[in-house]
Amino acid sequence: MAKDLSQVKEIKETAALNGLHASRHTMVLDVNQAGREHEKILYNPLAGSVHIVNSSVVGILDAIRNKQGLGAADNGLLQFLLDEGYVYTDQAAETQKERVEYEKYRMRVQDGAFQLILTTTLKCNLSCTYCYQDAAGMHRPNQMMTPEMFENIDAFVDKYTKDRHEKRFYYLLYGGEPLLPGEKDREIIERVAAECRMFDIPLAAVTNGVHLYEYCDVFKGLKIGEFQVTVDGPPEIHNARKRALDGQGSYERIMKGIERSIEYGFPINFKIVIDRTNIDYVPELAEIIDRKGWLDLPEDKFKIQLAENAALSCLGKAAEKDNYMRPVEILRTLSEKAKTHSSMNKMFRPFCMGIRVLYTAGMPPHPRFGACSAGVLQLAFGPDGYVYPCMVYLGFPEHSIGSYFPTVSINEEELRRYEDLFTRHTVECETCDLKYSCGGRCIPSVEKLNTAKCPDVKELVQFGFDYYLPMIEERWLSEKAKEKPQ
Amino acid sequence: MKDADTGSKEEKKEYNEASVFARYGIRSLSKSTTDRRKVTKESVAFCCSKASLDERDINQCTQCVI
Repeated sequence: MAKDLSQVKEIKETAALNGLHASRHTMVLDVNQAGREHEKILYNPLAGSVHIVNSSVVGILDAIRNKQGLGAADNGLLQFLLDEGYVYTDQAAETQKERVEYEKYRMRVQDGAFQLILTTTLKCNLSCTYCYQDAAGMHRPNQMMTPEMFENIDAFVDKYTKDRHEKRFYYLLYGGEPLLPGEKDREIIERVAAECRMFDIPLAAVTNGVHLYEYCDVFKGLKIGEFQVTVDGPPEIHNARKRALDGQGSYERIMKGIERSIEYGFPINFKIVIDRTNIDYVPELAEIIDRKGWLDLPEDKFKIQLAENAALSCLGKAAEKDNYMRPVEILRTLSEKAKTHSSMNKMFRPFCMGIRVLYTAGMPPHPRFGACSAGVLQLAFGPDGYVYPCMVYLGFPEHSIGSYFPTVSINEEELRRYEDLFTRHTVECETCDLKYSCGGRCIPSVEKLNTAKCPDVKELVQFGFDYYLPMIEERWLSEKAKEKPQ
Repeated sequence: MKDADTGSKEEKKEYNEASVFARYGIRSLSKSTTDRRKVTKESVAFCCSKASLDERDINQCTQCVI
């Protein structure tokens, strides 16, 4: 609540001893532009506030944080800091703000759609150099989800939602590789597509795209969320990393599938997994897809997803660890390349811990309460009849939370564990000042894959401002100027 | 505290914002609070991600999207 000025004066006078509380979630970032060294960026993801200020304001925040005197601070500034959530009247007020934001988050979650991951098979027709499923030692049974098994998923979902919120849901095809050419592979995908058509259920797929071209007709007319397809560089680079088991390269077939998907209006999420061995080829890939006109498509039809090669850093591929690049290193390198390469520049819209959202939506992201939705917003149905909290646990029945075939059962105790984990950041993240920007770690990464390292949150946010600030200022500040009465 | 969803912050201002902003070089990098309710676009993200909330809900883990 806003305080009137007499209250602020009173607060100011007593702040040195026991008064104002500076939010520990405020990040102070640099404006890395020549001549702007005296300016700083204040960003508080809990409060949703982001401002450029003179560095003197940072001094005042420090004084509040260190319980020093505030002689030079004026009431108007304190009022601003209070209004924007950089400062609270006391610790309890910030705790209350956390509760309020968390409740808003829970309400958004309740309204959100539920992701049912249909893992029709764990077989794959590629042998990628960095496959996390292989590196994690996943058991790949030679089983397939049959139409009969698929039909039993309804019974599991009914049981699951009985004591929980009923939610909208959508299907995500996942593997292994879900779009394989075999007769039985096609039969189950056609069965899922028929269900989606009949009940208007949105469908998406994470596919390697090798047979996407042949499947496009199956998906025609459906509400497709997106097809996530990974291409790691121009043909020779991509084919060396994503080897097809039939001995033919996968690149041409994948690109053909993407092309047809675009013709059919299916949104494509074009993922590029990046490490030291392919980063120099990313501009060439950008040029290829730019020539095809894909970079001119609206983002809801074609988007780029840059990803680190997590398998290299964490999954026991010790010999290749030197090729791993941390996200911020990837972004800095590509940003330099974008300065001299027009297609790369056109393609490069990195995510940067959500700072991109400040540019696209005009507001900072909502505070993040947890980064893992396993067992709460997603369930993975394996070809073995087990239900897993998410796709990372597929093939490890000891981590299942129940079964959907041949019998329907739920391990309520195990499921509650995930529900509990969902309601808070992972333990080691709980006290981190940056948690509302990061969200904490993915639970299976902590428990199973040992890929849970801190992602250089502040560096990524700083990079986000370095990259997007000129664009943000140009767009929003010029719009504000236009709004001002003459 | 402001209320980002109701846009009520501007109505509650009890100090001369223009003067304070000028004195301390303050500039907001967000749209005005009254615009905040307009962001309701539902984004659907997949892979290791949360299901659709709204555009400002970051629903992808940092290993997949950087």
